[in-house]
Amino acid sequence: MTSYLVRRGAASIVVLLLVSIVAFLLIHLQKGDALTVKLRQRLPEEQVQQLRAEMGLDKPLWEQYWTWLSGVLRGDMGRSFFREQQPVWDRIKAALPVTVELVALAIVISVIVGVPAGVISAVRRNSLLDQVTRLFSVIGLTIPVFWLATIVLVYGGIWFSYSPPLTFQQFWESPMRNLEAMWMPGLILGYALSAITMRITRSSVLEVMRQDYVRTAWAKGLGEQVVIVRHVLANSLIPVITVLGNQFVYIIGSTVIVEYLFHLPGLGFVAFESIATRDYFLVQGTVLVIGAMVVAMNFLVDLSYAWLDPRVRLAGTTQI
Amino acid sequence: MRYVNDDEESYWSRMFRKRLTRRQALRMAALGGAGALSAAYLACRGEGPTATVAPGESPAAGVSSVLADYRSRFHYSKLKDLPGQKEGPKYGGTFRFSHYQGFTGAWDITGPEADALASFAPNHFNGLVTFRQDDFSNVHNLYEVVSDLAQRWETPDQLTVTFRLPQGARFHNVPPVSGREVTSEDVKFSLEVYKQSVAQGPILADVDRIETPDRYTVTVRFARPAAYFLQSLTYPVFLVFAREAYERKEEVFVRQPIGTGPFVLERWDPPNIYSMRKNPQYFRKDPRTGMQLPYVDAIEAPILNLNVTLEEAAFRDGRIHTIWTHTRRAFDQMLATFPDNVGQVTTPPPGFQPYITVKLDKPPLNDQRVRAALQHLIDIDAIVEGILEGMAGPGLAHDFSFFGKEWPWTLEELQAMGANMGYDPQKARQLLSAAGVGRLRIKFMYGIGEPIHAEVYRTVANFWRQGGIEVVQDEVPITEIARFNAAFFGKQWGDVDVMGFSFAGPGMDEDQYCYGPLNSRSPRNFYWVNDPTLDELTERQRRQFDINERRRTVEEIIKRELSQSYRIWLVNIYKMAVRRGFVFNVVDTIHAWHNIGWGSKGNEMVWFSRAP
Repeated sequence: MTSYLVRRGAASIVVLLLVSIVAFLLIHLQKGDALTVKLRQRLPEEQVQQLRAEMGLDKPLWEQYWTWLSGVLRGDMGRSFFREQQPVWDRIKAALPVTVELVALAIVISVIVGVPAGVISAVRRNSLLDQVTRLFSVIGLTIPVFWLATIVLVYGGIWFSYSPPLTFQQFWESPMRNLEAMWMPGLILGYALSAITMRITRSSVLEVMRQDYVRTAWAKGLGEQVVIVRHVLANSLIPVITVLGNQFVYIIGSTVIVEYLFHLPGLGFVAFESIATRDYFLVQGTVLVIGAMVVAMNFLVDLSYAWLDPRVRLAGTTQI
Repeated sequence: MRYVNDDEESYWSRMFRKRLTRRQALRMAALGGAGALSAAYLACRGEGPTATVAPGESPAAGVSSVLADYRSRFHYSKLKDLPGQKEGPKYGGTFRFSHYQGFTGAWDITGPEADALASFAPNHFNGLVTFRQDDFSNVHNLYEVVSDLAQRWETPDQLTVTFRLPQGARFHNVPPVSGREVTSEDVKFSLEVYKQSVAQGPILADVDRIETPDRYTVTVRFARPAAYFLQSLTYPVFLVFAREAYERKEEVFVRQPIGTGPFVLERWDPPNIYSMRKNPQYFRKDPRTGMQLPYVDAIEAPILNLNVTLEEAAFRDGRIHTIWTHTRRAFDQMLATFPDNVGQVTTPPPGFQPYITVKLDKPPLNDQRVRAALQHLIDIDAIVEGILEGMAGPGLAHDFSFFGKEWPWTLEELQAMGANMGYDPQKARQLLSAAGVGRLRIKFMYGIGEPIHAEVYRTVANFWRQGGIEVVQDEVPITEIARFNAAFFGKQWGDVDVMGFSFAGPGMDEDQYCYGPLNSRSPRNFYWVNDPTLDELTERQRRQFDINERRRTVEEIIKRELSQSYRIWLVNIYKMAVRRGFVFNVVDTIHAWHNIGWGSKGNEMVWFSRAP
C-alpha cells in the first residue's frame, strides 16, 4: 500500500508539472501580454520596455516559467499583474471555498436524487415510475448546464421573481447569505450530475440484481428492503463512485460558466477573468490548483475502491 | 426632507413572501411539461412599450422611423416633468446599480490607466470644471462648462485662464490628508503631474506655467492659444489631489482615492462590490436647487461585469435601480417591469461606436478608391433596420453637438460633406476597377466581446463578400483581448488589413476627435493617418477661439477625412436606459454613460422621492 501511495504521489506530481507547462505555454504563445491589456494607449517604446521589464515579461519564456515554478516550490505563487499586485494565493484562497462548496453541493444533490431514483427505477423496471425517472435523467443529460442556468436566470425572474444575490459572502461569514447565492447553481449542477448518477445506479443495480447471491437472498425469504439495501445497493455502488469521481472533472469544468452566470467568485470565475487579462501567474496558479483537485479526487476514488470492496482490498496486497 | 433608509428585504422572505398561487403552480407545471422549446417560445413574446406617445423634438429627415418614435417618447426633455420633480430632492437612501471591473484596482488617476479610471474617480474627486447632468440638462449637448471645484473662472486673454477656488473645500478625512482644506497649491501640483502623464498630458501640452497668486487662485498661462482647453478640462479625470497622498504613491495614492469628492470609498472588492458612503464634509451644492450634495447616503454597486442576464434579473427583482439595455426588446421588457419605470433613449457618444480602421500604408488600401469601394459595399440602412431594430444612425466619430446639432448626421448629410457612404455595389466595382484591383483579399480582425458590435462586423464581412471580396475574418473573443490590444494600440497588425474597433476619441471636446486620432504627431493616432492637410487643420482648430471659425475648420477636417475614407464608418447605436420611477437625476448623456461611465460625476445629484 505504501509503495502504491508513493507511486501515485510521484505520478501526480509529474501530471501537475505537465499541466503547468501546458497552461504556461498556451497562455504565453498567444499574441499580446498582460501589459497590452493594461495599457489601452500608445506609450513611447522605451516606457513600454521599462514596464515590461518591471513585470518580468522581457525575460525568455523558460526563465519566466522557472521563476514561477521555483516560487511555487517555495510556497509563493507570485503576484497578480492586476489587482494592485495581490498575491495569487490570496486570490485562489478566497475563490477555492466557493468552488469546493458548489461542487460539494452538486455532488450531494446528485447522490440524494440520483441514487434513490436509480434504485427505484431499476427495482420497478418498465413501470410508469421507471419511465418518468428515465425521462428526468434523459432531460438532465441532454440539456447543457449553461443553457439551463441562463433559462433559470431569465425566466425565473420573469415568472417566479427569482434572482440570485448580487454580492457574495462566504459560508462562515453568513451561512444564510451564502446559501442564497449557492442553492440554485448547486441545484443546476446537481441536476446535471444526478441524471448521470441515476443512470449508472440503475444499470448497476439491474446487473447486481441478476447475480446469484441476490437470487439466493430472495429465495431465503428476505424482505425487499433488506435485499435491495444490504445486498444490491452496497454492491452496486462501486461503478457509481467511479463515475462520480470522473464527473468531478466535468463539474469543475461546468463551474466556470455557472460561476460566471451566477456571479460566484470561485475558481472558474477567476480562471475566466485571468485568461482575459493575461494575468499569467493567476492563470497558472488557478490551473495548478484545479489540476491538483482533479488529481486528488481521482486518487481518493481509487482509494475508496479498497474501502468499499473487500475483494479489491484483499487483492490489493499483491496487485494495487 | 428625509425618509427612512431602505434596508434590503431579506432574500428568503422575498422568495417566500408570495404563496404559490394556482396560476403559478400551473405555470410551473407548464414549464416542466412543455419543455424548453415551448418555454422559450412563451417567454419570447414581445412586451410592447408602455410609455405614452408625447410630442418631442422633430426628427431629422432620413432617420429610422422607429428611432424617431423612441427618441421622441423617451426624450430627455420629459425628465424635468416627471411626477415628484415638483416636490424637489430629498435626502437619504442607498443607490444601487450594476458596475463593472473596469480597472486593475490601482487608483492612480495620473497613470497610464487614467482613461479607465474616468468611470470611477469622479465619485471621489473633483475637477476644476465639469459638465451639467441632471433631469433638467440638455444631455444631448454638453458644451456648457460648469463649475466644480473652481467656483468661477476668467479668461482675460487667449493665453490665460484664472480659476477661483472656494474657501472651506476639504479633502476626505482620511490619513495622510486628514480632511485639510484644498488650496491653489494642490491644483497647481495636480496639473503639473498631469502634464507629464500619458492620458492627460496632451491636453496640457500648450500650458507654459501655472501660478498661484493666493491660496484660492490658480492662473494657467499658455505658450500658445489653446481653444480646446477649458472644454477638455471637463474630461472626468482631470481631478485635484493632494501632494502628500501622491508623494506616498504606492502606500496611499494607488491604494485609496482620497479626494474632495461626494463619496468616500468603502469597498472596492471585484468581482463582488464597489461601495461608497456620503462624504459628510462635501463642499458642493446642487447648482439648480442650492441644496447640499450628495443626496443619497451611500452607493452600492455590485460588480456584475456586464452580465446582462443577471443585471436584468436584478432589475426585475428591484435590487438595482437603473439598467442599460442592449436591445430595444430588452428596453421594452425592462420598462414594463414596474409601472412607474422611466425610460430614456439617448443619442450615442461619438467615442463609442463600431467602425473600421484601415491599414492606410498597405497596398492596395493606400489607394483612396479602394477604401471608398469598401465603404460603398456596406448597406448601413440594412444594418440599422436588420440588426439594430432601427435604434441607430450612421456612424462618424465626430461630435455633432459641437455644431449645436441635437441629432447626429444623417447619411444624406454625411454624403453632402463628401462621405463615400451609401450602398452602391456598382460604384464600388468601378472604383476597384479604376484602382486596378482585380481580386481583393482582406483580413478583417474584430472583437466579439460586445455581441451587437460583433454582429455588425460580421454583416460587413458578408457585404464585402457579396461585393466579390475575399474576406478572412479574425474574430477575437474577450479572452484574447490582449491580442487585440497588442495589434491596435501597439500597432502590431501583422497581416491584418482592417480592424473593427469600438472606441474613438474619447474626449469632451471636438479636439479629441480631430487632433487626437488624425494628427500624425498625436499619441492617440492609432489610425495610420499621416496627412499634412489634416496635420495643419487639426493644429489650426486648436488655436481658434471664435467658435464659428473653429466650427468651419472642424468641418473642413471632417470633409477631408470623409472624402479620403481614412476610416470606414458603420453605425452609431443609441443608448437605452430604464430607471425606477422614484429615482431622479440618473441621466444618460451624449458623452457619458451615467452612472457607470464618465457620467459617474452625476451620482452626487441622484435622489429618491421615496424609499425603494
